[in-house]
Amino acid sequence: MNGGFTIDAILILGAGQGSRLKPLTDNSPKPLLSINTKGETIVGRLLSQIRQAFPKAPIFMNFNSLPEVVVEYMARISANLRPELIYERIRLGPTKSVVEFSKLNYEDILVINGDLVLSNTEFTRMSQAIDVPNKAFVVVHRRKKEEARSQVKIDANGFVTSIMELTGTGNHEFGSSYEEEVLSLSGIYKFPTNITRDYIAQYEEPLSPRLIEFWLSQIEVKSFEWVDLRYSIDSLETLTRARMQIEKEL
Amino acid sequence: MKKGLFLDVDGVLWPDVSLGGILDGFNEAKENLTQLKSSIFDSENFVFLAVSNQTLAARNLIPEQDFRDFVAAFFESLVNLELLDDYATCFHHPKALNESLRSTNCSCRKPRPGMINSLLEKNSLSSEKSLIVGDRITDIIAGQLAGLSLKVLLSGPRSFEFNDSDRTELEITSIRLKPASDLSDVANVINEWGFHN
Repeated sequence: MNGGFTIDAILILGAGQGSRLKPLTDNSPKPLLSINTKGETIVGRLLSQIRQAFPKAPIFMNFNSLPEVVVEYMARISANLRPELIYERIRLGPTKSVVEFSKLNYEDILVINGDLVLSNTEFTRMSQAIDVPNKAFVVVHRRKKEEARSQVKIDANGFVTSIMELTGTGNHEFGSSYEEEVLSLSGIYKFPTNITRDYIAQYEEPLSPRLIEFWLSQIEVKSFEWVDLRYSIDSLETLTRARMQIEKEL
Repeated sequence: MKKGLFLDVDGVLWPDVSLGGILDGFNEAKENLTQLKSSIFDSENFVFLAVSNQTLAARNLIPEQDFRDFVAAFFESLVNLELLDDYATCFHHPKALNESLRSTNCSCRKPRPGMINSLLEKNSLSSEKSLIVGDRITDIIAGQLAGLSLKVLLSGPRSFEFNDSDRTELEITSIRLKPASDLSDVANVINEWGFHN
């Protein structure tokens, strides 16, 4: 328990290669890309939102590429926002990173992809909704099925009943509409670490169905649905859209 | 129980600009240690320890015994000024020109944790209550292998340089560290850590 909150630690996943955003990521890891004209970065915004929602929980971020740039940046942000860094000399992949992290002595942890640009209001709403001890949560959002990488099915009470991995474009089934929407993973997960600690990740893959299927076999997993601004920065287009949206907010 | 504060010296107590920074680093070391001690809220609860790889003799730039004497006198002077409590130095190098100092598997050269472990034992300190401050990832790895609670890395363009001959058997893949911009920022990080420990 941490200052009235049940989140004991937060892990930001920042060890991706940013290959889809080259050449922007040649000199700056993706989480350090700026998202407004004031120079606020993706991770800087995320750190502020996390600190506001969870004032005392320790924040960690893993990283791999351009390590000097990451350390230089983090060393210059304010001390109360500064995360402890986990340098992966060999990139582990998100699932293994989470499994490694779960070996630390924290009970309930929140894992957030380091390339998310989120609405402040939604972040607060999400952090309050998932702040329940010993429960696992996945944050989901609706998107067109052919654009989704995963499909989450939930029951009437919001409990996850199944997770499927989708394989990019062409996910539509015969007879279904291209416009069909599905619930898809949003890159935010909360779970008690005891259910993950002994899990041996065998696949280097996006943090999604396989690990969450394992959680489902151990514990009830609840969902939280985003309804507002949420960008996963995976292309120049999403970065541009996020920047435009943030500029409007300011 | 007191807390151990391990300090790398080149790049921490004086700028790491060239080989042999220790030769004229005494005044800067004195000033920086004085400043650091005064900036840490409960510095009386810390044991200040220097851990240093020194390779001038291994590179045959100074006769070995002369250099050993110089380094001992250097750190002893800081101990006498009550700025340091203890120190350990590794004079080895895997590719030393001086054969007596050539070693690929000494336990003392950082990133190996030998110097830290021996000072922990000698000063009856717990690794879980101790931390290291360094300017290279090799300092941080040494601290992690010794089980230190906090590893503070000063940011710099060479922070992640890693000598090939030091890679050897190290299998460590994930390294935890707290970044700091300079020595006064280090004091902030230590104070925050000390508050929780």
